[in-house]
Amino acid sequence: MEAKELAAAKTTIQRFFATVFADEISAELYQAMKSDQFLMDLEAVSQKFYSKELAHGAMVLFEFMDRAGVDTYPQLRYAYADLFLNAGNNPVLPYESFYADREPITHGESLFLMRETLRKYGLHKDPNYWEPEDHIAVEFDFLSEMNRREASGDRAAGQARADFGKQHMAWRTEFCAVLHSADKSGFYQALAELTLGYLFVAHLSSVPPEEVAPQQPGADLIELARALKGTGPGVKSASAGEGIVSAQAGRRRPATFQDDPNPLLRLWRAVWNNGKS
Amino acid sequence: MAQLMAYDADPNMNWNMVDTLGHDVKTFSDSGEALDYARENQVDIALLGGTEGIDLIRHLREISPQFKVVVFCDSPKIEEIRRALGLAPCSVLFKPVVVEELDACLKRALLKGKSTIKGSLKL
Amino acid sequence: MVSCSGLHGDIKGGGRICPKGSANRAHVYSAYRLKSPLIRENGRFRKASWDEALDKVIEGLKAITPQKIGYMRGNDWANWVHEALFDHLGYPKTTHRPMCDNANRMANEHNLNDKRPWINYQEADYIVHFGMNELATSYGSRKTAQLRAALDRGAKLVIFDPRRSETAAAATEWIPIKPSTDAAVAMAMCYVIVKNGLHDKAFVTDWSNGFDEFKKRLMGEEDGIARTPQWASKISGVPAETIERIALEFAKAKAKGAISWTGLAQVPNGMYATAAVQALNALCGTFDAPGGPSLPFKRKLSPAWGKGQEKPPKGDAPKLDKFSMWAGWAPALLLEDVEAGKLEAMICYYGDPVLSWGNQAAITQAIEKMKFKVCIDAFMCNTATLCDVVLPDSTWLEQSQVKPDWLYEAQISYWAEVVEPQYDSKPMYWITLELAKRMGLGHYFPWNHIDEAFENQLKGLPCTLAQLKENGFAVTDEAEYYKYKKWGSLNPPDGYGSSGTTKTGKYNFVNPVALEKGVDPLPDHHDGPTDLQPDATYPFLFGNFRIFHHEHSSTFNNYQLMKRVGSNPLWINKMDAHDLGVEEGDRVRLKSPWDEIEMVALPTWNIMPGTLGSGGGFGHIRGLEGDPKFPQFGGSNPPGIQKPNTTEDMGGTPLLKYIKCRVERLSG
Repeated sequence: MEAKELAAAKTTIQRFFATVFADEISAELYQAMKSDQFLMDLEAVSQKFYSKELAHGAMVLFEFMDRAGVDTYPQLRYAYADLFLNAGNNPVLPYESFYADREPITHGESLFLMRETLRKYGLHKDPNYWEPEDHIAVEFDFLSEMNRREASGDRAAGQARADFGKQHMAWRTEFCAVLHSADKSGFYQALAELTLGYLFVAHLSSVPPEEVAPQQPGADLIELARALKGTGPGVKSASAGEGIVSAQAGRRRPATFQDDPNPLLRLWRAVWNNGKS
Repeated sequence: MAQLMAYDADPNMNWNMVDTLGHDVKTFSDSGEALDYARENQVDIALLGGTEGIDLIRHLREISPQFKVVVFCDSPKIEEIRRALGLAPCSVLFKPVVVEELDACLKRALLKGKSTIKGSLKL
Repeated sequence: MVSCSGLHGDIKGGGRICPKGSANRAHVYSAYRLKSPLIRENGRFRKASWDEALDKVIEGLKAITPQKIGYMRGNDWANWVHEALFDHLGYPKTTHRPMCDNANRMANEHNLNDKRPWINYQEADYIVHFGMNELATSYGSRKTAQLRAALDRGAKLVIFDPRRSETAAAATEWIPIKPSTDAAVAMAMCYVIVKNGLHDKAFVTDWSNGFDEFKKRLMGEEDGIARTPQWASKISGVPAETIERIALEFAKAKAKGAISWTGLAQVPNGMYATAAVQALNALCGTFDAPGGPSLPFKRKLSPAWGKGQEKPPKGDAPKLDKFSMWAGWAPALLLEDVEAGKLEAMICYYGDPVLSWGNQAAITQAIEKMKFKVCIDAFMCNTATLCDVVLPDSTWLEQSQVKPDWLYEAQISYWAEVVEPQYDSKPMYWITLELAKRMGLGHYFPWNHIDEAFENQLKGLPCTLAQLKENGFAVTDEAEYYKYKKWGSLNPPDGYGSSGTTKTGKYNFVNPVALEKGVDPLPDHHDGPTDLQPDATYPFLFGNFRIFHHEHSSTFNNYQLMKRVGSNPLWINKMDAHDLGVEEGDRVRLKSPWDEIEMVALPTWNIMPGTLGSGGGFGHIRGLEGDPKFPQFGGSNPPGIQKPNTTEDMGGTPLLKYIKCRVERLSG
């Protein structure tokens, strides 16, 4: 298959993941995932996948949505609040900053590197989306956009996306494991397995095909995209937008915060001042 | 330039890519030999493949509680990844080795002054 | 925000910063932050927009008589704005005060001008602390630096405490004392000083009131029991010779001061004990003297409502509970108040009542019984898990305020909004305004930006908002010795305030408010309630203590701080541990007549036999403590096993440091 076709498929897939992780599942998205068409497509592609993990992920999601009843949608909202809004005792902490050192502190170096990356490619995080830039949804959205560019012929975008994807693979894998472990609803567990399956297949697709045969990651990705298209993740991103918008304007520190270029001197001066005060 | 050790019970595991990163790599497919080597030599990070690789972590931590490891999963079984994370690996990656993925991991893991391993997550 | 350091010239920090300050980043950027309003539904929580959540709050409040809605002002951040709304509505209000040290206030705020006149360590030569751990709980790092400097130059520090705290460990003498017996020791010290004629006769004559009555009490002229060191020794366990010696040393020292804090306030007899300790200062004329307690005086801000702006008039909130010296809402009595129908709803701003108000099961039950409850907090505290609506507060670095303050000098402080409110959190003044608007009270909160209110507050003050923003603070009045002589009174002059007022303008050995209310107005030791005293079944007294690296119950989602102190073992004297067969790390059951809790034991020589203690603030079920991914962090809430609906009798303070217990070793 053509690189462009593959890129277009990944755009759809990554937009889907960006959407499901950016926010609670909307009523519209839920209806789309509950629709006969989607369920049929999902079941069908799960039989076609070369990757058995991807097949398993798709199957688990299919089974969940197939079983889902009237009470299920509210359960998804409660699960989202528990997992992503810290209402529960085992939150998933969907930020690269967390996984960098596995310490539950956000706004780490990953955030700033992500801002730099967005700026570099003329993108910005939607200011109305109040999560930090290293949220998994933003990273998926970024990848999706770069794939979209590649699909419309921008080869450099494709290279940039490939590099980014490989550098940011590991933490997203861990995110899936944490999500799977933390979720009690079954829905996010299913998403975790599907996402993990996708990450694995995406990983395989970055390796020369002969090394992974009989696996056919490219084919799997095309199929997955076909199934997910039914949920309608169109061109609009959940979290990122075109153009560069800087993060909050710099703030001035009080004048008495003496800015000494020599930190040792600053420390000495602080000690001296305290002896006198 | 770091001293790496790679172990996978499968002798056909391809560690060739790792050389291209400019680190020194010794590869093993026998766990006993791998452990002996780790005991007797300076190893900055161990690359461990498969379930047997994960099993080795415990023994490496007996050599040094701060022994850094990178885990390579055969296939993304989510339970295996959950188990691996409880053992504080630097990263969990997939086979086959994709050198850019490993490079990103090593860069952070080998940061000067970072003598402690990342935290573990009990999942 | 990348890092935090001290601010030079600030009177409280003096350029220094404590562990909590230096870990600010991990507080603002804690991964456990509440990000969005939440609404409780079917026992779970779901995301809600601010509009939906605020509307639901209004709907819930409208259905209940205002006088039965409790407002917990757990945080005094820009308190003038939220208090204005809830006071106007007539909601009974409680604050940190009656959870902490009302007993202390009932003495110092009537006998003197302020709850807590800090000692001037710069000149100190002899310092006595009762029930206070200065080095871990101080009002700013400048004062603790001065205390250490005092020790370095040879000042003597004497600590009366059942526990060898950080301050006790640094002190010249640590004197173990049985909980709730400090009044006896202080009275006996007063006895020694007066008997030997070592008191400052000029100060006592010119600046005190009621000395003759106090002397009669000390000498036993009323009841035949002289308050001697021997008498005090039997009560407190402190050797009589020690009491006598410390009293003489204190009286004969050049620059001396005595102070007490919650070790006295959160046990029976708190008011009287505090008064007894303060009497030492009065006898020796140490107020505003070198090395003595410095009389607080803060600038008063102008009203936030300026020309053409109307402050909402105060409503008619009932005083829910009555004590011998105080009436108001005592949070420890929540279950009783709810069961009596006095409270049906609550808006809780910060403070986590479940972990801090008293018997945890009783407080929890009380909240569950309420018809409607709202929690405003930056984290999912235990209380929030019980509420109908949870609103995400911004942290203190994401909202600003102007505050007058004091530490020897008087200062106006500006607390800046350092970073924008994170996620969808909002500052409390925004939340207040939005609630007010929905209640048709928006016109009472007319400012377009909170800075306008600050500008109004600074009218007539010797600094502008621009200056405050530039420097962070403005020192308005220098420190002085013997300010009261200039003032002509121990109370500060117009334009200044302190937390209390002495009606006589002098120091009162005879508490004038106690006289009015018909309770014993003199300092003294009184035994506490019999049913609270240790006995054969419950032979220990447990006391809560604070931790330098933590702030009450609010820092437990700060990973940096939790790495330093991530759990709270039970301190038990090694001899007691030996007798119980308990070793370090053993799981034990701490059991009171009313409840029980499991803890990990820490046998130590640093606590008296018969006394137990542990660091407070732990016991969260959400956040880092509740997170199974990090099993190495987490502790418990032992003060939660205290007797329900119980306080000391003067001011309604819960008895956090006087809980009778037994310890049982758990097998396995």
